[in-house]
Amino acid sequence: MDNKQFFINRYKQLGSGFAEIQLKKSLRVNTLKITHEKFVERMTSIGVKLAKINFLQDGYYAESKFSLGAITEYLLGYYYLQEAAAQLPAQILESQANETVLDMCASPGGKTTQLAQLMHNKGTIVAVEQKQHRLEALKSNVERMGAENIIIYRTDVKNLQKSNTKFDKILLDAPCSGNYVTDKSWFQKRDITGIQKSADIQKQLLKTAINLLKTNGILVYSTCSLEPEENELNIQWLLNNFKVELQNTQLKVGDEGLTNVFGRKLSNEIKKCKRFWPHKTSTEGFFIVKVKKC
Amino acid sequence: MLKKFITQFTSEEIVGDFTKVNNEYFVINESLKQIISQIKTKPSFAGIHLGIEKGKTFVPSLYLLQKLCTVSNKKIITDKKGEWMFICGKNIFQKSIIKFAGNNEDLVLVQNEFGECLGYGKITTEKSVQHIFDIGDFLRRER
Repeated sequence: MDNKQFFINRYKQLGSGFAEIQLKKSLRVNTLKITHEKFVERMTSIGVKLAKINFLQDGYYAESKFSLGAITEYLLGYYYLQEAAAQLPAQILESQANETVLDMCASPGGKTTQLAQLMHNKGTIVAVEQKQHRLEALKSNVERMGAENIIIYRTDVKNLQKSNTKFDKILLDAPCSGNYVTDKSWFQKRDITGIQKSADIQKQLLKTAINLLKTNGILVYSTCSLEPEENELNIQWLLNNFKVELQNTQLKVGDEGLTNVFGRKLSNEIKKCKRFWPHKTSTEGFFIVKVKKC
Repeated sequence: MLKKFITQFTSEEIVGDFTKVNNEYFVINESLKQIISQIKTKPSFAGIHLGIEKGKTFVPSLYLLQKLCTVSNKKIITDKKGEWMFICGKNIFQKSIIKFAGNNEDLVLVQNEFGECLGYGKITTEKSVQHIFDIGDFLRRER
């Protein structure tokens, strides 16, 4: 059996079909710099077709004959090219203007700058990135998007535990194995051993997140993976080992989290997670959960 | 270097208190300063970025350029063609300049027809603008 068929069989066992999809280009309007109305008017005037994405606060599908990553409007920070599902974690975190928020794996800054926008540049966002070359992209995007309430640290996020700082909200968009929609060679590159390694790293990040969160604080955990080892099984591990409760995301898009993973029964609470099968949501593969520390 | 850069365009105090971190300048508000003092690690970036020293040159941030555009008279307005050329790192020819202010060798801010700041350059003897820095830098940094 080839690798692709192996993973498709897994998805079938998890109750899903499979289909290749063509991802639509999407973006997020930056309301720190421009209103929705002015943005639509401006982009339409230069020949860009926009369609509002109904499950997103600031997201649009965009069609154009030219690259949207090289025009004046992009360089001025009027929008960020961001996949639709990827706009959900910051949106459901619901960070407030008076809060201190941590973005644990911040680069290149799509969700970090989205947080700044949703907080109206108030409060504080601490953004962490370990690698120098990824740090430059993060700084560049923060500057371009006009975010003014962000502190960026180049460090391993677990080092933040050395200080007494605790956060009201944490966004953990964890490094993961990715998915076949955004990576055309995904089926050739991936195997279960690699996925499990990824899941183990994510567990450590989840543990750090819970340690850094205030009591009653909220964590949003997300991956762009469809593999339950990185998603539902990690959340079950979280429920088993920490005093946390899962929260309803209130999202009308996506499937419930899986409570039966290859014969293993999980907590009913896992249904509060959201899983995005590409052929159903027309997004990249994605997983998202909202967690409260008790 | 920051103050010297600003005075080339305006005598107004447009920045207020700023902090230098390594070779970069920032405006950091009190709430960010409080978190920085708790975390006790030097940040790489904080608050509003004003610019960076690269050797003997000061490279302004988009925020600083836009702020300067609101107070300085040293600016030119370019048409769509000039705008595109400039953000690709090229000079702006006289025929693309809609509104001109300044003398030979002056530094000027470059705006498009919407009044948006695209960067800055230097006026040449041919009444064109020699490119120095533009917002296309965001893309070139990523290479």
